[in-house]
Amino acid sequence: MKALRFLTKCLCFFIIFSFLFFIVQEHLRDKWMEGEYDVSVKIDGFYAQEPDTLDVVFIGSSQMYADMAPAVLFDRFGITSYDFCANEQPLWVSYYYIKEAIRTQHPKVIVLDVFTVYGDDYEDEGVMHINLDDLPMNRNKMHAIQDGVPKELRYSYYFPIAKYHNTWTDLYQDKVKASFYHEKDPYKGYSPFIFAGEYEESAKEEVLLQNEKEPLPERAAEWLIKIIDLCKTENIPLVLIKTPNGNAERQKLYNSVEELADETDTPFYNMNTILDGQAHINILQAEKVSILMGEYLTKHYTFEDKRNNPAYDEWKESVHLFERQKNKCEIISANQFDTYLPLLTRDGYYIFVTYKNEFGNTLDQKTLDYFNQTLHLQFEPDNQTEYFAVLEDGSVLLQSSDTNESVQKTETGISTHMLLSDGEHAPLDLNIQSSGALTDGQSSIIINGTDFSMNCDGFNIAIYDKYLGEMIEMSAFDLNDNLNLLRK
Amino acid sequence: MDFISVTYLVSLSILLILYYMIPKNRQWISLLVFSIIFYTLFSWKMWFFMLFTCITTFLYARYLKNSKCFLFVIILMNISILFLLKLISSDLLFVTSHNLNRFSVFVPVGISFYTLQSIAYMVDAHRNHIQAENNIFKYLLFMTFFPQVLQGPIPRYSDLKEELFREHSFSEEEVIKGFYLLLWGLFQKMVIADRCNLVVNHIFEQYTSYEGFFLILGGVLYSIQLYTDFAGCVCIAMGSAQMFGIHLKPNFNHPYFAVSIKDFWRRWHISLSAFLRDYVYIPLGGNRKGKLLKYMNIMITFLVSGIWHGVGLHYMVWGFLHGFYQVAGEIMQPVKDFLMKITKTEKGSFTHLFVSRCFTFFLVMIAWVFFRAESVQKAVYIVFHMFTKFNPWIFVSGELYSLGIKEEEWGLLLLSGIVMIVVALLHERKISIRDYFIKQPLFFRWAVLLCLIFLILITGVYGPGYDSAQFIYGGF
Repeated sequence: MKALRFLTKCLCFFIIFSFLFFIVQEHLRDKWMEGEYDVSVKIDGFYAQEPDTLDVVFIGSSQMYADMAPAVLFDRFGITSYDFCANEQPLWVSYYYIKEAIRTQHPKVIVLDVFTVYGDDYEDEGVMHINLDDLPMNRNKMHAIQDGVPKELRYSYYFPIAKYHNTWTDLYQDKVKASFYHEKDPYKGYSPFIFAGEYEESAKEEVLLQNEKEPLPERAAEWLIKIIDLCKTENIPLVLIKTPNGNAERQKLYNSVEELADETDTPFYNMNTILDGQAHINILQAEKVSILMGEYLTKHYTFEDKRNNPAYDEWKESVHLFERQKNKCEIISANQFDTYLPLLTRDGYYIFVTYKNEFGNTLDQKTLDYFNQTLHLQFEPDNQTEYFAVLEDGSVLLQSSDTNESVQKTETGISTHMLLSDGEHAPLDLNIQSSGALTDGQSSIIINGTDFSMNCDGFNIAIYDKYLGEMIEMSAFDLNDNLNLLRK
Repeated sequence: MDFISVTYLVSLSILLILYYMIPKNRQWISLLVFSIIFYTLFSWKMWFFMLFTCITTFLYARYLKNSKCFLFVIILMNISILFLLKLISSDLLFVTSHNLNRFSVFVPVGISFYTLQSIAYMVDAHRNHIQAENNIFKYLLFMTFFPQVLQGPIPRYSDLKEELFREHSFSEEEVIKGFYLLLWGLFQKMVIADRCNLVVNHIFEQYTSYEGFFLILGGVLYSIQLYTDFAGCVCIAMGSAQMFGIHLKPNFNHPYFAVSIKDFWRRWHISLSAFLRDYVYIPLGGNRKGKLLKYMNIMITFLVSGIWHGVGLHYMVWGFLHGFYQVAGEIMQPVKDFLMKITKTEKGSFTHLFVSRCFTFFLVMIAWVFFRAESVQKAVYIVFHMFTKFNPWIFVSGELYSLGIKEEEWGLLLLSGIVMIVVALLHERKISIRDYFIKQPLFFRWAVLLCLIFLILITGVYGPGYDSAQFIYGGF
């Protein structure tokens, strides 16, 4: 009886322990939440989607989530889709991602990027953790662990605390918040890359000329066939694709994939032979890939156009975000004074401009006129070498030449302090200053304590995207270097 | 099966339930079965040596206990096996790591411990201090009892027989106390010892890059690592045994509180010290044949201890140093007394205890450097360069953070050290923390248990990339 009572107590203790264990484990687990490789955000976002709301699910590695923009597919074709991908995802993991996609979304089409057909062995530990850790623990995940992880390491995937307990020294608010509160990903799994990977012009030509075939590694071939069989069993069309990566050597493998696809009556859309691009293409290239994909999908499959369906209004936010990122990419890609300035007049930006002229250089009248006309400013450097301006949505909010009490003139130049707020993000506490050659020659754009001015001679510009809530660019047109654009 | 594994904890729980469910006179059989499984899971090949030792020593005690000749032959055979295997597993005979790996597989876990255990059993039987065991399976349990087969303590048959074979009724208090001790052992091993190990490895591997307090820190942390590693394992062993109502004799008594080297050896690895005293030092003549022979016997005993710990000159130097410390300590006693007299320091006063403890720890730490270093040359280099640079600012300049653990982990180590000292001080005053906890309300006990478990789970050094299962003394 004593022993039985003790056993009952042990059981209660074990239940309390287990409950706390899973809370602690989830808090400590590393999460990938920042930058372009924010896989945790993508995976959590996928499971936060309402069931059966996706027409197409894209499966694959980072090349897929860098290339395929669901926002474009929605905006242009009314298709709802999601990049349910993770870095360097091996095919034996893709198989279980597809199972999860079918279980939660029953998509009309599944699109698989075959980038990792080169794989024949266990991936390294980091890749497997980034692929598996964010999946909810269920049969599919357990099978993925069994198939994808060496036996001696499996325990750390079932109980990630074994891997991540050391992160107690590195807990931060977003990581803790993301432990149990899964938010939708407004990008629908897509990562907007601003800078494209280095690409040689001759790469596509080499790809096109590549006719050789390299046999697929045994393990990759086995799992590719399993994926094809799975989709056939589930009666869900599968499209194999290869996003552009300009790799002629890998093209040998893709030629073999094409052969396998023909044998199994599975469509294979090799964009590698159509478009330029190197691995992680930028948002402007991704738009082209996504349009091509949308055209392909709408040509071969039938989808309900959801653009006017209020139930899918959240996708409009994705479209808007994509546009903002595209604008950002265009601004960051522009390099000339005359092409750069018009981009600053677009909606949704705070533009901060300060002028600095330490050595008394002069601007030519044509440049000055262009500057004033494009940005609707009244800068007259003949009379003053100190100048700053703040623009919002292309309109002038304040410029130092205005008669305004908030503009303070001191011995060290002119400055102002103002609070800017769009209501959605934290207010911007701005201190902007410009000093001329006769003072201490300082240009500063201090926002919430950080100086975003490059402090060059000439125009120093900082661009804040109100919608994205971030400073997207710090630049300067240098008077000492023929107004060449400098960036930080 | 390792102590630090979920498999061990789950198996232990299952065995515990079975143990208290089966008839009491059969309880020892369940322990034997589990001990066999436990030992086999390391490697079945090790059974060849274990069985050889068990059978030869059992037969001797049972049928030949009056024969000195057979006693000598069987001891010689078992000692030969021990040293041959140690030679094979060392790099003295086989130069390439390939050979080393090939042969080290066959070195049985705990061979150093069970060999001494079986020798003590035979000698005790020969001296008629014990009644030889009639049942070979009971003897097998004595030899392979799972909590102590890895790293001791080295039990005497007279002590363990009663504990192992008497009938044990379920006692909630014993199980809980045992579990507390097991957790305390895990804490010492996983949070302190394995964390110290990261820094110690870094410093000892790149010892030529460091001087002064870096090397002193390496020596001090290794001293702490060795103690918490070994004592942690013993706590796990004692805690595991206590859950079955079996009390193993403690192997440590806060050795770094020792006020002399002699005192240190009364507190460090007590079962080995007692073995060396009873089966080496006293048979050599002990202190009965004049001071010179006594000093020689001390030196021989410590050299034997050094050789027992491993093949390598640095182990012998370590043993020699301890012998030398002890002999020098006795010779210098009048000088110590004189110093105390002129400084008006009373024996047992705080100053006396503090200075004696610090000095003893310093001597022990220097000897541990020889124990840890792979060669005497390396150890001499490290000890010499401890005093070639005065750089105490390393403790505040942030340079410690480049030694393999982060700032927060140094904080954790410091805090753990304070906890260890507080616990040791309470024990010195005969205050049992486990007795205190056991009297507290259930929710308080559970809260403490949960805190300790999560502290180990979160801050312990384990998981992919770490090999925390390897106890240092398991290699001896």
